[in-house]
Amino acid sequence: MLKLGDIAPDFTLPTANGQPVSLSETLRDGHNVLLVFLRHLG
Amino acid sequence: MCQYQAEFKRLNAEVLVIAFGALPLAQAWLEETCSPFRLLLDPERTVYQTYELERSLLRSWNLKTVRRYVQLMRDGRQWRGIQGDSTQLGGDFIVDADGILRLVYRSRDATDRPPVEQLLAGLRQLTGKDET
Repeated sequence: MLKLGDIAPDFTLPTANGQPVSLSETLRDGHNVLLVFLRHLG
Repeated sequence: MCQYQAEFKRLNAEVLVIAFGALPLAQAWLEETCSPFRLLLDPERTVYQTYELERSLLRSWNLKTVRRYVQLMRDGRQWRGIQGDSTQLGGDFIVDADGILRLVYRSRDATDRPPVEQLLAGLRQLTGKDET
Protein backbone atom coordinates (compact mmCIF):
# COMPACT_ATOMS: atom_id res chain seq x y z
CA MET A 1 0.00 0.00 0.00
CA LEU A 2 1.18 3.51 -0.77
CA LYS A 3 2.74 5.09 2.28
CA LEU A 4 4.72 8.10 3.44
CA GLY A 5 7.98 8.46 1.56
CA ASP A 6 6.79 6.61 -1.53
CA ILE A 7 6.81 8.27 -4.93
CA ALA A 8 3.34 9.62 -5.68
CA PRO A 9 1.92 7.83 -8.73
CA ASP A 10 1.57 10.17 -11.66
CA PHE A 11 -1.81 10.67 -13.30
CA THR A 12 -3.54 12.86 -15.83
CA LEU A 13 -7.16 13.88 -15.43
CA PRO A 14 -9.33 16.42 -17.23
CA THR A 15 -10.70 19.58 -15.70
CA ALA A 16 -14.35 20.50 -16.14
CA ASN A 17 -13.32 22.24 -19.36
CA GLY A 18 -11.61 19.12 -20.67
CA GLN A 19 -8.11 20.47 -20.17
CA PRO A 20 -5.76 17.66 -19.07
CA VAL A 21 -3.85 18.22 -15.85
CA SER A 22 -1.10 15.89 -14.70
CA LEU A 23 0.55 15.59 -11.33
CA SER A 24 4.02 15.51 -12.89
CA GLU A 25 3.49 18.76 -14.79
CA THR A 26 2.14 20.45 -11.70
CA LEU A 27 5.21 19.34 -9.76
CA ARG A 28 7.47 20.51 -12.57
CA ASP A 29 6.42 24.05 -11.73
CA GLY A 30 8.11 23.58 -8.35
CA HIS A 31 4.91 23.38 -6.33
CA ASN A 32 4.06 21.14 -3.47
CA VAL A 33 0.72 19.56 -4.28
CA LEU A 34 -2.26 18.79 -2.07
CA LEU A 35 -4.53 16.14 -3.57
CA VAL A 36 -8.07 16.21 -2.19
CA PHE A 37 -10.14 13.19 -3.20
CA LEU A 38 -13.82 13.93 -2.60
CA ARG A 39 -16.27 11.43 -1.15
CA HIS A 40 -20.00 11.78 -1.72
CA LEU A 41 -20.18 14.19 1.18
CA GLY A 42 -17.63 16.37 -0.52
CA MET B 1 -11.08 25.92 2.49
CA CYS B 2 -11.73 29.22 0.73
CA GLN B 3 -10.37 31.33 3.55
CA TYR B 4 -7.08 29.45 3.40
CA GLN B 5 -6.38 30.14 -0.28
CA ALA B 6 -3.78 32.82 0.44
CA GLU B 7 -2.02 30.55 2.92
CA PHE B 8 -1.84 27.67 0.44
CA LYS B 9 -0.35 30.09 -2.08
CA ARG B 10 2.19 31.39 0.44
CA LEU B 11 3.20 27.79 1.10
CA ASN B 12 3.76 27.22 -2.62
CA ALA B 13 1.02 24.62 -2.69
CA GLU B 14 -1.13 23.74 -5.65
CA VAL B 15 -4.41 22.17 -4.58
CA LEU B 16 -6.01 19.66 -6.94
CA VAL B 17 -9.52 18.55 -6.03
CA ILE B 18 -10.47 15.21 -7.56
CA ALA B 19 -14.11 14.19 -7.89
CA PHE B 20 -15.79 11.04 -9.18
CA GLY B 21 -19.36 12.31 -9.33
CA ALA B 22 -21.09 14.02 -12.21
CA LEU B 23 -19.76 17.42 -13.20
CA PRO B 24 -22.77 19.47 -11.96
CA LEU B 25 -22.45 17.96 -8.50
CA ALA B 26 -18.72 18.56 -8.36
CA GLN B 27 -19.08 22.15 -9.52
CA ALA B 28 -21.84 22.73 -6.99
CA TRP B 29 -19.53 21.46 -4.27
CA LEU B 30 -16.83 23.87 -5.37
CA GLU B 31 -19.25 26.80 -5.36
CA GLU B 32 -20.88 25.95 -2.05
CA THR B 33 -17.58 25.45 -0.32
CA CYS B 34 -16.17 28.54 -2.01
CA SER B 35 -13.31 26.40 -3.18
CA PRO B 36 -11.02 28.29 -5.56
CA PHE B 37 -9.01 25.23 -6.47
CA ARG B 38 -8.74 23.25 -9.69
CA LEU B 39 -11.30 20.49 -10.04
CA LEU B 40 -10.31 17.30 -11.84
CA LEU B 41 -12.79 14.65 -12.90
CA ASP B 42 -12.23 10.93 -12.37
CA PRO B 43 -15.59 9.31 -13.12
CA GLU B 44 -14.03 5.86 -13.53
CA ARG B 45 -12.15 6.35 -10.23
CA THR B 46 -8.92 5.06 -11.72
CA VAL B 47 -6.84 7.50 -9.70
CA TYR B 48 -8.87 6.69 -6.58
CA GLN B 49 -7.85 3.08 -7.12
CA THR B 50 -4.23 4.00 -7.84
CA TYR B 51 -4.08 5.83 -4.51
CA GLU B 52 -5.77 2.84 -2.87
CA LEU B 53 -8.78 4.66 -1.51
CA GLU B 54 -11.31 2.26 -0.09
CA ARG B 55 -14.93 1.57 -0.78
CA SER B 56 -17.21 0.66 2.08
CA LEU B 57 -20.97 0.62 2.33
CA LEU B 58 -21.01 0.46 6.13
CA ARG B 59 -18.52 3.27 6.57
CA SER B 60 -20.14 5.43 3.88
CA TRP B 61 -23.71 5.14 5.10
CA ASN B 62 -24.41 5.18 8.79
CA LEU B 63 -25.98 7.43 11.41
CA LYS B 64 -22.90 9.65 11.46
CA THR B 65 -23.23 10.27 7.72
CA VAL B 66 -26.93 11.09 7.97
CA ARG B 67 -26.25 13.52 10.82
CA ARG B 68 -23.54 15.18 8.73
CA TYR B 69 -25.87 15.59 5.75
CA VAL B 70 -28.53 17.14 8.01
CA GLN B 71 -25.93 19.54 9.39
CA LEU B 72 -24.74 20.49 5.90
CA MET B 73 -28.29 21.22 4.76
CA ARG B 74 -28.88 23.31 7.88
CA ASP B 75 -25.75 25.22 6.87
CA GLY B 76 -27.20 25.93 3.44
CA ARG B 77 -25.98 23.06 1.30
CA GLN B 78 -28.60 21.74 -1.11
CA TRP B 79 -29.43 18.08 -1.48
CA ARG B 80 -28.64 17.09 -5.06
CA GLY B 81 -28.81 13.37 -4.67
CA ILE B 82 -25.97 10.92 -4.95
CA GLN B 83 -24.29 10.10 -8.23
CA GLY B 84 -21.53 7.67 -8.83
CA ASP B 85 -20.44 5.08 -6.31
CA SER B 86 -21.61 6.37 -2.93
CA THR B 87 -19.50 3.76 -1.14
CA GLN B 88 -16.30 5.36 -2.40
CA LEU B 89 -14.28 6.93 0.40
CA GLY B 90 -11.93 9.83 -0.11
CA GLY B 91 -8.58 10.97 1.12
CA ASP B 92 -5.97 13.67 1.18
CA PHE B 93 -2.32 13.48 0.13
CA ILE B 94 0.51 15.98 0.25
CA VAL B 95 3.14 15.49 -2.45
CA ASP B 96 6.35 17.48 -2.14
CA ALA B 97 8.01 19.16 -5.11
CA ASP B 98 10.17 16.06 -5.64
CA GLY B 99 7.07 13.90 -6.05
CA ILE B 100 7.33 12.20 -2.65
CA LEU B 101 4.26 11.51 -0.50
CA ARG B 102 4.56 13.57 2.68
CA LEU B 103 1.04 13.07 4.04
CA VAL B 104 -1.23 10.12 3.44
CA TYR B 105 -4.72 10.36 4.89
CA ARG B 106 -7.36 7.87 3.82
CA SER B 107 -10.86 8.56 5.11
CA ARG B 108 -12.06 6.07 7.68
CA ASP B 109 -15.67 6.94 6.85
CA ALA B 110 -17.57 9.39 4.68
CA THR B 111 -17.44 12.14 7.30
CA ASP B 112 -13.75 11.76 8.00
CA ARG B 113 -11.48 14.45 6.62
CA PRO B 114 -8.27 15.88 8.07
CA PRO B 115 -8.55 19.36 9.58
CA VAL B 116 -7.28 22.04 7.19
CA GLU B 117 -4.84 23.06 9.90
CA GLN B 118 -3.23 19.62 9.73
CA LEU B 119 -2.78 20.00 5.98
CA LEU B 120 -1.30 23.47 6.39
CA ALA B 121 1.05 22.21 9.11
CA GLY B 122 2.32 19.54 6.74
CA LEU B 123 2.98 22.12 4.05
CA ARG B 124 4.66 24.50 6.51
CA GLN B 125 7.00 21.70 7.49
CA LEU B 126 7.96 21.22 3.83
CA THR B 127 8.59 24.88 3.17
CA GLY B 128 10.09 25.76 6.54
CA LYS B 129 7.70 28.68 6.74
CA ASP B 130 6.08 29.54 10.05
CA GLU B 131 2.43 30.21 10.65
CA THR B 132 1.44 33.78 9.75
